[in-house]
Amino acid sequence: MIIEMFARMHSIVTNGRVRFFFFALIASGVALLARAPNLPGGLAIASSRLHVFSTIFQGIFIEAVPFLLLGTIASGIVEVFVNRDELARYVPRDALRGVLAGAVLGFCFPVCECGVVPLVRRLFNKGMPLHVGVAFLLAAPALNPIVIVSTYTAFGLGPVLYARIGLTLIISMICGLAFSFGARPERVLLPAAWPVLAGGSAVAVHADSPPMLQRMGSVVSIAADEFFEMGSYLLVGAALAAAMQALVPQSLLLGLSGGPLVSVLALVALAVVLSICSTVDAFIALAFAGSFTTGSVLAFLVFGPMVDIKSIIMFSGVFKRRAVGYLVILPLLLTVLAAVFINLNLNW
Amino acid sequence: MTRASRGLVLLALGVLILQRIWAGTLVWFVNPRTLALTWMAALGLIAMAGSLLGVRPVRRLAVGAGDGRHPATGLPAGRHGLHQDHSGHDHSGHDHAAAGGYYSLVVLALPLIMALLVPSKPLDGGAVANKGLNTARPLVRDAVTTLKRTEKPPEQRNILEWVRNFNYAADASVYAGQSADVTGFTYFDTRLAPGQFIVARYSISCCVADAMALGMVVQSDQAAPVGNAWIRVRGPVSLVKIGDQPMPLIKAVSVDGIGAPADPYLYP
Repeated sequence: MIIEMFARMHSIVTNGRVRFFFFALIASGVALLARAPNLPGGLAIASSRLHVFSTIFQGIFIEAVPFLLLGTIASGIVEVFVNRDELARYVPRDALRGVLAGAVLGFCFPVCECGVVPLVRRLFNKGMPLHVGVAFLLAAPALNPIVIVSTYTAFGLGPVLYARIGLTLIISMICGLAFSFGARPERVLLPAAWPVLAGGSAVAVHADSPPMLQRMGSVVSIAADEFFEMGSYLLVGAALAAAMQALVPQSLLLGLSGGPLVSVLALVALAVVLSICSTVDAFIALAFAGSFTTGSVLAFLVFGPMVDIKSIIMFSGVFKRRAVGYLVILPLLLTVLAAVFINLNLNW
Repeated sequence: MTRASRGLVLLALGVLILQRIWAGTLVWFVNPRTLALTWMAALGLIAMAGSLLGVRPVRRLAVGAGDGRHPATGLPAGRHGLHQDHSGHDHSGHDHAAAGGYYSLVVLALPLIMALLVPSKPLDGGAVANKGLNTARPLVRDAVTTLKRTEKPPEQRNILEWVRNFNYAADASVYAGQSADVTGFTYFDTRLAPGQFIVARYSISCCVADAMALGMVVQSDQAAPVGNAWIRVRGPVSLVKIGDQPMPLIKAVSVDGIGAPADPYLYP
């Protein structure tokens, strides 16, 4: 009898009915908080924060969808049309030239931080060496024509533009090199990003390769699957970023504009919290440029495109946890070091 | 089942975006400059939904027929060469998507769920307290910038143009005495003197995540409007310092309540 009851309860839980019940409870709470008129003090603030969260979350979603879409379609095209052996032929053999190639690849694939992750994962599948992929992943969101033009528009030809390009190049190359020393893909990457040993899109050269229309259909189909997977990472990141914006008072961070180190840490933290697209971050940085040190503004422009909340979450769809840690900490340390050096030694 | 439900979620997301464009509420979330991209995104989502729901030119190959092709794509199952080993089972007989299916389904449906549960509205004064009012001078030492001040007559400048002109002027006092006519929402700051409040707008470069609140101080003899109300303020401009930041101050001749504008934000 008791066993039967347990079995029944178990089946209810695994059927997801209980989960559904909790979900419905949370949903009605959220809806009530959002819609109830004349809430008392604390609840009114919570309701206002909820609206801020919802608006920013949907804003990031609408803004990011086209870029994620382009990234997944690029990934689909690579899967269907790029041959593994061809890719191997074009990637330089030695590590230094490899990471340099990876870092400037953004000029060929102008993708921002939402689009670069699915593309990098696919390139890993195709056998792109780890260090090249890491350099591409970190550099591409800032080292591409669109971002360079927007930085030029905001800051003109000057130290900020040159240093943004230079520092992004150097830091992404150093991080790429760090992954070139004996790191094996199986230990760094999640299985979904492992290189394929055989087959792959040998379809590109096979005599019985499918007709063009079918291959284009395959691109869309692969992109749809990938969009779903990467989209879930992106949306978790967007939700976290929106929650941070709704809950963490940025005015506190903006108050920390003095000091060669504190100002850098404040703007680095702000870059992570804001999670704004690299294509417009120069205009946001412009607003800090008057009150913050030049080094800290540069840190915002260099570190922001490499790492923010949504990219950390998306990295964890490609890399194992420890590697995600390295991908956050290494660029962070290098950026802070460079920015503090600029603040102390260069009078920009 | 998963494939179909995924297709439905993508379709609904695409329709949600189209609905926002149609209803004119897209500008509550993103800079209208991105309209073309947003159209592309909506249509792309619907195309993908079509591909998942089976409306596609690709011939679905028999699942698990043992020809070594990926069931979803009809391509040789190349990527499964090594991939198979890790999970200890053969992927060729089922949909890849099924793994963690419900999780990603719910997460992808989050924008839909939020849109249903929380009535949409643009950012208002409620967010200023957290985002902070940007009183900094957005000017880089010696930098050339294309964001020049506007030459518009004073009455036609909006809050963004006023703040920018103040910040780019070597001597902002040249603007003293000019008459302003601006609209924005009210915001109260503890640093202000009695009888003063701020009329503010958000400036959006890309989407609301980068929203920055900009404002002008208003000095008015009238009872201050309640927080978060939309107003139109007219009167001569002078300078005031908040902390050590010079800010434009309007000595209000009139403060009128107005309805929220269709496009609540300003764009640099």
